[in-house]
Amino acid sequence: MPVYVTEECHADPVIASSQAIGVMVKTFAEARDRHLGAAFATAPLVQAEVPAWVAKIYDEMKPKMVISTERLGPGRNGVIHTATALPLQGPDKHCEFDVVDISPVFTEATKRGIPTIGIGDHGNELGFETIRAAVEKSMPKGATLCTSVAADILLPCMMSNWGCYGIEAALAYLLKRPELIHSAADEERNIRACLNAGGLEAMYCTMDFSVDGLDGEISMAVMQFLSAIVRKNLESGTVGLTH
Amino acid sequence: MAQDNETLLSIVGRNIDRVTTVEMRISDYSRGVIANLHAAAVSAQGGGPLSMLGARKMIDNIKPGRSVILTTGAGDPRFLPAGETDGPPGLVVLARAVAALGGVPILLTEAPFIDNVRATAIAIGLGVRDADMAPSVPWSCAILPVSADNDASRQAEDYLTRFDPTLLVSIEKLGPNPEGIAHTASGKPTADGRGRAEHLFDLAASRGLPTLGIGDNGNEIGFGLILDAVRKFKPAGDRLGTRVATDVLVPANTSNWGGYGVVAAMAAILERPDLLHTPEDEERLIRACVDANGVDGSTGRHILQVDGMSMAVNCGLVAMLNGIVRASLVKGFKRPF
Repeated sequence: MPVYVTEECHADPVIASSQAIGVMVKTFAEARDRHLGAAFATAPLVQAEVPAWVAKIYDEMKPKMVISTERLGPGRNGVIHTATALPLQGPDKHCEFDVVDISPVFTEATKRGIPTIGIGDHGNELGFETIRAAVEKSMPKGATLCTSVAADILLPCMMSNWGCYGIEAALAYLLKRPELIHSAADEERNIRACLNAGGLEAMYCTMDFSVDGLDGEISMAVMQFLSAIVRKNLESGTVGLTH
Repeated sequence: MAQDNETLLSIVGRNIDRVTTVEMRISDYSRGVIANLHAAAVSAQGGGPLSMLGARKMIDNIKPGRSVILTTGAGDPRFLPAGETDGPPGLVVLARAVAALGGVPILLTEAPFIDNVRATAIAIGLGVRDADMAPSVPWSCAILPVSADNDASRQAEDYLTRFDPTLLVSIEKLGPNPEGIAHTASGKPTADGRGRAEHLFDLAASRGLPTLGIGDNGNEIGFGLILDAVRKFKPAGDRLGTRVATDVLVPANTSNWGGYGVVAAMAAILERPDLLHTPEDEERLIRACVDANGVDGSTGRHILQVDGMSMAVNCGLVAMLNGIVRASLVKGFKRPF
């Protein structure tokens, strides 16, 4: 049973995307006991409240796995940075308030031996400590922005969404259930729902139909690719008459 | 940290190579092969990226008012009476790029496949004229047969004399192995109707004319450059690997994609995104091909597929190539956060 974990300000786009893809968002009890989709755990906005909040999540929800996608984690100096290494906390922060660091919900899993997956596209997202040396070498200002939080499995990708879709596709192949992959049309609904709920395209900072500066059609094309890779490889091999 | 243009183009070319070699094949004899052939071709050609090498071959050798010969043709005419959906779309996208740079595309294929190539050329907006008229008509091409008979060698001499091409391009055109026998992708000897385009490329090699080869299995003209790798990695490669090499070889998941990749790289180099076709064009191309009796080569069916892949996937590939090219044209962008 999925539980979305993020701050209130991200709730609307997350819930809108979830519903667009066919997963309703209910209370934890409804989601758990009646199998009604997903639940939402709202993160506090005050850093001092995070430890108790994390403890409560683990006590009540008893997660079997923790997945992070495009969630920023603190660097070695304890400060969260943007992809261009601007601080999002502390006296020099590049924003009006300190962004809350919810990485303890991730690191708590590691402490308890619960598996973690980190997905990201720059090196500042939770999980990239796993390949810190590569981030420092490849990414401008990588030593500053690289998070100090590692994951059991780290999936770097062109954009974080695509990494999630890659896991979805691999799961579909392993389970021989190609219907698990969302379609290109679903992807369009997904992106538009996110935008309509206030989500921004974060390269040019617009509400255009795009993600990270790339036309939404390209994310739709990725779904065509992933679906075809899975479906073609689930088909039994053929030796055509013609070829 | 501004990147110099060569670095940028190398990154762009590598990504074009990556996306055009994503494999989604339905035949046991094709699965897991193309990445190895591509890697061998990269190694044999100084490190690639191969789409960029192909693009530079095109750009350096297309001359205003001069002919470029482009050839395609695969499949057994008994099963594919008008040819297949892989080949003609890639051919005409390359031909349109030739025309865009002022060259005169001369398209060669098996006589029974000419209607398919004509329909596909028109679908991309390339007019079809007599070979004598094409040089005077911008955005047009000529389409002529490649002989399947013993006069193919003489015909090749005649074509080279008549058109005096500055470049020869082969895409999805079967070539013979060292024993002189051409094979299908599954290793069966081809039928008698195969157009023998190898004579053109043999003559081009002997005269030092520039050549570019694009293919997806190892039996197509160009793969002679990495015959050892074809024999090693491709099932039945010891039979089907062609001896015919080209100066530049671009392997791709589907030959069309290799052609599109070369044109995408041209678009990035020349900063002319208009050279590359759109997903809507791609739909028109495949429809035109199938409406002209073209066949999906993998299934042998008259359906809107290419090598077993849906039209949507092919349009998706074109969307991604356009995305890669357009992103490459954004220079000096600085995100505000």
